[in-house]
Amino acid sequence: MSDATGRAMALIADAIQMDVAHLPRDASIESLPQWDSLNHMRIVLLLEETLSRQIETDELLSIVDVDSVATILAAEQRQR
Amino acid sequence: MQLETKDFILRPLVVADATERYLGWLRDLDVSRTLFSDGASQTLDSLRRYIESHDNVSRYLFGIFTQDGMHIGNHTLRAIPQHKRAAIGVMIGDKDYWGKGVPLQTRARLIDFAFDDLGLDKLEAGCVSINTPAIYNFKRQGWKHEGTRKAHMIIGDRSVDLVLFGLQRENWRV
Repeated sequence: MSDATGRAMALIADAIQMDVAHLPRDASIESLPQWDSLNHMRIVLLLEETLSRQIETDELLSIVDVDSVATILAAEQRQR
Repeated sequence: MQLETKDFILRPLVVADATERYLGWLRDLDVSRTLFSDGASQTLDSLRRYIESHDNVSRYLFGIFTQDGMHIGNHTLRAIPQHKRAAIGVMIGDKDYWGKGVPLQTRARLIDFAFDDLGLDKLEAGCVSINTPAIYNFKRQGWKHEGTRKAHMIIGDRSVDLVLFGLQRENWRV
């Protein structure tokens, strides 16, 4: 598992208040019942807090699963 | 005409549904800031005129009601029959029902109505980019992102995008 994937899973688990150990690697808005609209908003807010910037619309539209959150985190890491 | 879901009933609004409660939603910035109308300028009279402007043939205004009859929000549907297309919208006015998946459930019934009863082939909808729950709902329901109008609106002091979604009949319930 990449560093970005691990960070994405930790962020999602934190936002939806579940133990990261219980978060499936392939968790998505379709597969994880706890990933509802309010928790989706928490994920976005936590991501913005982590990145210290507002999420762009294209990024917002891409967020559907662990991998998409990891992609945003990894891109930010590359730019630093 | 009445459309039923597991927890809610959709029926066309009538003039008597223009209540202070409904008006209060439009005057609540939490509710109205992501709508495409000026809620603050609305009155009971303008609400009545708005309700009456829907013929429920090609312009529908459905109220979303709980099973015990409490009005909690609305769906709009504006059909363009010659193109077999309609634009739809939603407002959940009662904030006690936010975050409970209401649009997913009620819009699914509206989509069935549009495709099965009205014979439409495509639906379109949009939301502002700061409306994260709405974007979630569109993605969760299988709508496709069709475009983004950059810096389309000013909400508060922030310029926001308008995000456009589409749903074609062949992509519904696949």
